[in-house]
Amino acid sequence: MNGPFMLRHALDGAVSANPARGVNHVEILADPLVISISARPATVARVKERLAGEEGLRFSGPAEWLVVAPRHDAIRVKSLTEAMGADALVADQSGGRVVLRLSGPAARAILAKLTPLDLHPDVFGEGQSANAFFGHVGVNLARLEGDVFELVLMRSFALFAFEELLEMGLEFGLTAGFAT
Amino acid sequence: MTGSRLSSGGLVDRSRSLSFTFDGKTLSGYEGDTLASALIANDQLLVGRSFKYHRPRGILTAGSAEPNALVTLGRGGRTEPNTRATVAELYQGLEARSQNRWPSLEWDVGSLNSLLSPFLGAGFYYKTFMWPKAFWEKVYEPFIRMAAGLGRLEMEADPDRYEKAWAHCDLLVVGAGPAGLMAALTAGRAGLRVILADEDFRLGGSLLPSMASVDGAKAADFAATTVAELQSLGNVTLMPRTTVFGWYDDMVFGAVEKVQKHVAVPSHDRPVERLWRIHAHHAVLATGAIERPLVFGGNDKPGIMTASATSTYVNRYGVSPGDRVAVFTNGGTGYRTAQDLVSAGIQVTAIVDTRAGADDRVPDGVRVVRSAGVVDTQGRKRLGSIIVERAGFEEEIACDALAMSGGWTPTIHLACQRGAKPVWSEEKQVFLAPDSDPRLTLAGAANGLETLAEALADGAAKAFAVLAKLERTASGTDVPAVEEARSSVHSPVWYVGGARSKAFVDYQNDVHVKDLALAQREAYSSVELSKRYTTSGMATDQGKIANQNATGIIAAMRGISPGEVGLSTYRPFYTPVSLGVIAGTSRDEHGRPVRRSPLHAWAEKNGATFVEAGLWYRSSYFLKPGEKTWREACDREVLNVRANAGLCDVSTLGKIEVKGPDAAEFLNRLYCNAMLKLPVGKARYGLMLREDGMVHDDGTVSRLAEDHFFLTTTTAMAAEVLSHMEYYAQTQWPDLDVTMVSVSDQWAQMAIAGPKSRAILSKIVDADLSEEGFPFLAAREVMLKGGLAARLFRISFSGELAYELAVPAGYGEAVADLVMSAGAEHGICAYGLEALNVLRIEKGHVTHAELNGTVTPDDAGFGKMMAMQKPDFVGKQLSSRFGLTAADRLQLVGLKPVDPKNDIRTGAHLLKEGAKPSMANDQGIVTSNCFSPTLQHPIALALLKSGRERMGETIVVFDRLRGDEFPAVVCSPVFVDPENAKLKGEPARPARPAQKEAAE
Repeated sequence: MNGPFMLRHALDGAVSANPARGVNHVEILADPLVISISARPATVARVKERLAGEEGLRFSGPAEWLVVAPRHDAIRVKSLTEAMGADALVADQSGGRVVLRLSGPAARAILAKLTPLDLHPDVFGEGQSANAFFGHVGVNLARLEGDVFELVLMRSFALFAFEELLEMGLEFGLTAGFAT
Repeated sequence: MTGSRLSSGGLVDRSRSLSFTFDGKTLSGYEGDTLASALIANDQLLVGRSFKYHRPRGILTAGSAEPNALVTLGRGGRTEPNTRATVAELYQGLEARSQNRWPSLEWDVGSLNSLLSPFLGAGFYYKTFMWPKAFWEKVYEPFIRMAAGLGRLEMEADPDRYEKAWAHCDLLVVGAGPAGLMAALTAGRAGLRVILADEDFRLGGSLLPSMASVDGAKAADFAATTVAELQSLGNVTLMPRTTVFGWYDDMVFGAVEKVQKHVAVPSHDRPVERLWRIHAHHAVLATGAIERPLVFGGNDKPGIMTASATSTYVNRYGVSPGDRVAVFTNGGTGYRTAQDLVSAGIQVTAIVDTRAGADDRVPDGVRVVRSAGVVDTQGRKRLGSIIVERAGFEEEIACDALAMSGGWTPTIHLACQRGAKPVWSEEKQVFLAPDSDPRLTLAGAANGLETLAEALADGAAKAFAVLAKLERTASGTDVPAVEEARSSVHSPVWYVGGARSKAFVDYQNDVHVKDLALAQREAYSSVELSKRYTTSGMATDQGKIANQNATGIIAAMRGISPGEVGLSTYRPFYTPVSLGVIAGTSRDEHGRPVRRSPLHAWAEKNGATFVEAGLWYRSSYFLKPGEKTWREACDREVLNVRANAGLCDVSTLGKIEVKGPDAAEFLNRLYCNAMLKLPVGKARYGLMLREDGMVHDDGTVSRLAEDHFFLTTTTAMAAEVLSHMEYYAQTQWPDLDVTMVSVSDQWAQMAIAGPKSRAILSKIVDADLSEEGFPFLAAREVMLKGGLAARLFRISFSGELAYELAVPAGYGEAVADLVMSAGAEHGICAYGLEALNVLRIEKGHVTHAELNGTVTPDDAGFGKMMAMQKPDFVGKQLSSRFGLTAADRLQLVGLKPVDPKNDIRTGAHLLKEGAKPSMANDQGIVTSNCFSPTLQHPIALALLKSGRERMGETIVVFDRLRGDEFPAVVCSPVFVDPENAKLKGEPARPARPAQKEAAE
């Protein structure tokens, strides 16, 4: 699709090529799909209805969602754009976001150093997502399951945020690497 | 005359000996000791020198209120001055040094100050350092600075890590004494999410040194059992070594956890301290009470400590402060301490009681002197005896330590930090916490209760109350039975009359009773004024020891109740907090977030030097071999763009998409120029105002579809413009059906500028880029050869034939590489922010250097752009107000120095020739300047009064800061190609005599 053009990830060079994988691990998605969908007060009900059941749907604000998937998929961008029609602003943000998956028994303890969200499973359950502070930058954080969290960060801040994440994970032996 | 380790007893681990040093001397203690208890065990009762008079000082307390035993711990970058020895956990290899003494603790030259003490009373500074004025900065300030402070900072960087974290709970219990433990246990058993925090490294508070029995067990064992049960509960988090220092809005508490302050060399994997922000739905403050010293003559000698501290050293740490200990008390606490001493086999020489009678049990064989007071003490660096006075009769009683008790002050700091004033209890003669928030309650001694049994019951009751509020059923927690000797209440004695030497109120700041009296005489009698005049309560313990006594004394001096005097304001922090932990990870390179452009790696490999622009790192210039200065690179880049082509990373611009049936109307109201009829596929310069009529930001607006727009903002204002837009959409025009989203990070955007730019782009863009096929201000989606969708805009900031090409960020580097290789044959170069700036100054294009918040569109030369015929737009109403239309407003002009050797510098002021430099004569200000490589002389943009009418006038550029004063000529701000011929790739033509049209 993108012909001869090489993709450069914002975290290229930030992790070693063959990293060890510990129990607490952060996986960097190499070429994820991130689509933002912004409805309007007049259309929010319709848009919500049409988005019900959409795989990888994340709440990211009133009348705003993200659709996140492990692989970029231009066809899905197109079909979602068409499905929303004039009712919502659909923007492919895949290039502008970095998606990390943090997992392991210490995931919550690590996140507690970066985000003010209460991540107790009674409060922030599986499938829930929220926009929050992450260190000094913004994040969309979702609990995928148990102790697996997904972090959607802005590309320009990603290296800074990733370094903070690694530092907060030091005491838990946090490892990091690109998803294979 | 010795402090010593008792042969048995205490909660220290006698099998684990720890060696440490104090002033270079090697000493030893046990695991479980504090530095203070280990110093006492080694008979080191002289620990420091006081602030002003350099008096020998020892250890006053066994807790965090300690005013005297401040030491410097560690060395090099780990040096920590002013650490309280009473809370410093002992570890193998600890290095401690005494402070505020020279050359040594024993022989301190500064103690000569004591001889001058008649002249060094409160207000000494204010009265002495008045004259002569010439001495203020040269003599007095250096002198005061030299004398100020206790411990010295090390200038080496701290090698350790600090971090911050959040925690959440249903119930936060502050303090793990009897009340706190019972509150946590009750709530924990009922299943609440509980956090129990305590500043001590061992949980148990006053239970640890208590000789009472609780539920048939020793109090300390009861504490250990309870802590073990709490530890087993998954819903309870225990946080020892954690000081809750502040109560903030929305039930957020600040706390510092000392993670690795009790090891010589911390592990790098963990921080040494962690700053917690604890969000609690409810909180129980079980913070206990602080025992007050008695204020009597000579009450500061090493060997004199509070009664509870004496008991704690004996019972918890198994050390004795002396061989023969006297007790001075106004209540039952002194008798209990006497019993503790006797039980440990230490001789009690006498109990001096200010009261006539009390029914406390007197230990066998101990003499009690009633209705008496201590009026003086003997001994220099160590207490030798006390002078006891009763009814005019004085008696000297030999002793090497004195345990004193002036009663208990509830620790209500946290509850009073948010403005509510403490409430005086006439009955208990103490200040209690105000009832300011139903989610915060106090329990136990902090709530004014005095006995252990009451504290245990109160802790449980407060937790039950929280459970009831949350409608949670409590499983039964019985309040344990307590066996403890009866103890009489204290009857306050704020000042023991007849003092024959200084009676200290605030030990650390050397404030004694006569200072408070002086403040009274000089009309500083309000408690807040008295505090500042005398510095009582201003030391590092923030009045924990002094304030209650000071209020009692001021009240007595004024003949009113302490309740009428009040206390000075409580503020965070409860105890000192290191700056390191407040910074957390925000230091060095992570001092603030760093933003990197998607073309960062491209810029790096092309030799960019980066500059911080807000949070961004932007490429500033690209040095070529042989170039030594930024100017050489910049001049070459500018000339190359004008002659050939250049590529500049403009990815940092804010980018916003707007969509909806009313999107055009929305933008029409948002910008001062017309947007409604912008054709699809076209871009337009847009100027956004604030309500007050001043320019807010500028950028471009492109119409992607009938209902779909793409905006750019300046880099600096990206976030602000988005919130500005959201504000208007949501609150001012909710009827407009429109939505927007930031796509700033999605696009790598590059400006390709210069006469060869069309030829270069034609090689890689699969579209007709001819003047007709892609005219000036065209804005369309295009395909790159090879199959990548991109957006192309024919816009120019340099005045050249130019394009901006946007591709998804991840492909930015690949596309920039492609443009560079396609452009190689046309002589393309990379250019940075410096060249970008020169190119725009040469063209008179404004940035926020000119649009500084005081500039209207007309000031900037955009007057004709304002579409005043529109029904409304942000800023329209106030644009016509008086002052914004005045004829003498500062207007944008260009400046050329008369002598091209003179560099006009930004920030310089403009004066009429011959005018004296003054505010009244100020004609304007230089906003941007550069050396124009195109014209080969310096040029500048300026805001000048009525500037557009003054073309050709010679004006003086004046900058006293940099010593500039020379003439310059006012000219059009457009220095290069005023006819804009180059925009179309044609050669520049000289200007026509008429003035240029506005930027579009």
